[in-house]
Amino acid sequence: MAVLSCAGTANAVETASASPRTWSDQAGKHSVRATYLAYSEGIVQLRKADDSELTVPLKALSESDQKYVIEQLRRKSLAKRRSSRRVAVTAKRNAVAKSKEVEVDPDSEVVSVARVAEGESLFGIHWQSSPESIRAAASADEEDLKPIMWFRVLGDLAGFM
Amino acid sequence: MRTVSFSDRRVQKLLNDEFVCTYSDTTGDPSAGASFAHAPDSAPGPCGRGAGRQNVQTMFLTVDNEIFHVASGFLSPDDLLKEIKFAKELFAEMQRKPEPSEKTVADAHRSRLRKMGFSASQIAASDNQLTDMFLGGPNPQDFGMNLPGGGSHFFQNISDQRVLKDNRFMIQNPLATRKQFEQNPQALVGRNKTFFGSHPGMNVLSDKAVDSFNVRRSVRGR
Repeated sequence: MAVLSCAGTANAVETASASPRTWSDQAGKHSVRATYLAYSEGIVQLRKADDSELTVPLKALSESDQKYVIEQLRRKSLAKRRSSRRVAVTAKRNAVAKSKEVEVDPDSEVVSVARVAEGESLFGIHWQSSPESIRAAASADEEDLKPIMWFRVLGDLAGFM
Repeated sequence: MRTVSFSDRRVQKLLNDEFVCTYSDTTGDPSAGASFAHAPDSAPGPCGRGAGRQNVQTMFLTVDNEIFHVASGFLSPDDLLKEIKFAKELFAEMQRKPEPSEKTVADAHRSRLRKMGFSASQIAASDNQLTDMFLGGPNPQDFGMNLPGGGSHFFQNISDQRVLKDNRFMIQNPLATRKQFEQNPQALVGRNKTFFGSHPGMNVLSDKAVDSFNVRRSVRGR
């Protein structure tokens, strides 16, 4: 398949959960049977039956293959959201349990849980997620406090939005 | 904004060097609007200043979670830079001045609006539901369209009014805490449910594929 190139050392950023399928290019001239592994910055990562890995630009894939990748991303995003909700509920429960023992600062309650990992760089910006890490970073130098930029957005910064 | 404004190197440097950045997802929040769902690398559609104000808000807080500046809706890299620089200067001023910071914040926003050409009566006017509908409604300039004659002026006025409302919010609510804000975000973004989704017409995906995207709706919007 001309448009596909080998990428044996590429690191998978998602765990494969899909089944093998036939992938085609835009013109339908080339195809390969492989399992979807991951997607990042316009590149789709696939694994063939012999365990070798391929990378292919999303643009180069057929329309149905592009749809398939989007569906995989959407499912991943939904799963992350459900997982984050579970984290938030657990955190709130812990906060309630803790409040029976000590008074909890209302501003430190988990109001929302950012889905970007602590200190992760996304779109060139370093993001902090927990109230503790935000406060620590903003007040690291007591003589030179840093302001906080809080981006409220409909959707997942790291996924669909 | 992530693919256009946050990806601007000037914005990245200023935010990474001078600010602590965080974000939260407002999905399910009663104040949230609705939008197409875009993949991380979707090509951005054209957006005007302040478009989709219920979908994105860029807020600036002190270490004690007090809000001292806000800009709602889409911001181009240049607009975002202006807001970041204003926030940086205001924060520095708050650290320097011995007087209560609430006054510093309110005065700074009032002075900013005056410099932009707004009159004292415009700055002091209160918001109403009609204004909210006006600001949240479609504006051809959001989509890169300019109408001939008086139309352009009319729609430019929508963008100006969005800026006015953001700064007026800070005059009326200087140093509101994050928690206070989250109890009533509609005070900033209005109570009308709006839909705004830039159409990734230049995307690698076909229109058919784009149409198959789920339209994201807030809980109340369903």
